[in-house]
Amino acid sequence: MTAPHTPPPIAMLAELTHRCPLACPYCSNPLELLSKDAELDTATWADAFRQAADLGVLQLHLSGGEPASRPDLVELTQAAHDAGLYTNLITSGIGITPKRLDALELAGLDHIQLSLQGTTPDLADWIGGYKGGFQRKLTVAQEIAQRGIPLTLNAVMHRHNLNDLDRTIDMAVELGARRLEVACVQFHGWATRNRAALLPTREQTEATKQKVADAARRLRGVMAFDFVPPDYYADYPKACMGGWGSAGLNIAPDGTVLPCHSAQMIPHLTFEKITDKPLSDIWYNSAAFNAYRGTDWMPDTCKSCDRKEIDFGGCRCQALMIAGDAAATDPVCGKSPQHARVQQMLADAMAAPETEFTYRRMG
Amino acid sequence: MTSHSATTGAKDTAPRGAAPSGTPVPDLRLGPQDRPFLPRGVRLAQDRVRGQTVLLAPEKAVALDTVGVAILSRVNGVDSVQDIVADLATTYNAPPAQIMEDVQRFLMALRARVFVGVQV
Repeated sequence: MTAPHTPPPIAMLAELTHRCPLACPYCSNPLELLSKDAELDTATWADAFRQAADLGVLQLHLSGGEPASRPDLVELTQAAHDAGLYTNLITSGIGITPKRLDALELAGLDHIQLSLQGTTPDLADWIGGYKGGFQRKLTVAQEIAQRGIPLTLNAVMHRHNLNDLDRTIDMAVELGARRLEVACVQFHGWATRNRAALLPTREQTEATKQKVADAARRLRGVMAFDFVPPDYYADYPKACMGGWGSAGLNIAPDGTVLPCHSAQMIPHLTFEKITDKPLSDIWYNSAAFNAYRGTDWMPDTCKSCDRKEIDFGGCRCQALMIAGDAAATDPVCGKSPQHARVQQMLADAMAAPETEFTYRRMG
Repeated sequence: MTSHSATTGAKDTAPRGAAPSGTPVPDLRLGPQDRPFLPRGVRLAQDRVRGQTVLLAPEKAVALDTVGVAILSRVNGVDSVQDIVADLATTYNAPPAQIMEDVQRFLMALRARVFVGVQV
């Protein structure tokens, strides 16, 4: 059954591949990674982009894994551009050579989001699990700036680099970024395996909020900020995906169409593939996309809350992970009956001895 | 102007719970001779599915109302703020002072996000 007044999606995340030279311990890809053999071919992706544009998608995020691992990245960008989509490449920079950057520019690439693991080679390469990655990233950033391609720096932040936030902000300005995402690690997928090693302290979290607020004011008109706070310390949950099946969708490397990148962890939902059904049909009519649309599915805690149209009950995956029920109030919410579990997780993580990262690697 | 985020996660530009400190805020008001422009990666587009004009920018789509479209369709890097205001005042038969305020408010908000640049 279609929920009444379902709007068309605005943004689509195309996870072209799960392959990636980096091994970040907070990777948002699922625990079960798809191999190269499972990936959609060029023509199928191109068709998916055209379907997305027809459906109302305006912004396409070409992501992964590392999208540059796809030899057909330029063709895919061209196809997305030809479909009329605003094209955004989300990359670590590894595999983006100057020649390839020229070709991407020619293909109509609108914007690049470059990830940043840390502000020094030692820190960044340790976190990314890839030696030499930081230096190559800086080279790519300079190549991007030389060409004038709009650049966002996505600084993924956690306990081991939050104290470097000031330097991160300065670096983003120096690299000519027009926008900086200060994205504190969200605990989905691989990141859950490293939660104790990555959770920031409360002091770091408070300092971060203040620093971001100050820098955003100081740099108004120079560099825009988007901030994803560490939600375990939040009073209210994040408005995950702006509401389930409401503004955005994802396509996994094998063509599975998802309401968010980690939705496949919800075991009772069945997700359909772009190779089996039209995208429009999946968006409007599939049981998975309608499962948590609107407010009818909500527990009383959310239904009776005046923020239900602001945060939509938070994140369904987090509700499943922490409360054991994907239809529960996101336990990071102070009103959640299971909120004590989040506080316990924080206490446990702060008390735990320092552990090595479990890097995310294929196979 | 209504705005909807085209990003895929939850984003806050102004963190809650962080009181503004004494940080000086840059004055983004445009001078009458300033010539605003849309920087690379920011453009107007027809949203054929929703039947509206949108401003597309890095990881953001902003739905524009008729006022927004009227202003931004005149932003070309050549015409000054004064030119734009005069043209709007004539076209819509409205007092220039009022139009100037509308144009300032609108362009300053976009400038804060680096969706509009200014040639002095």
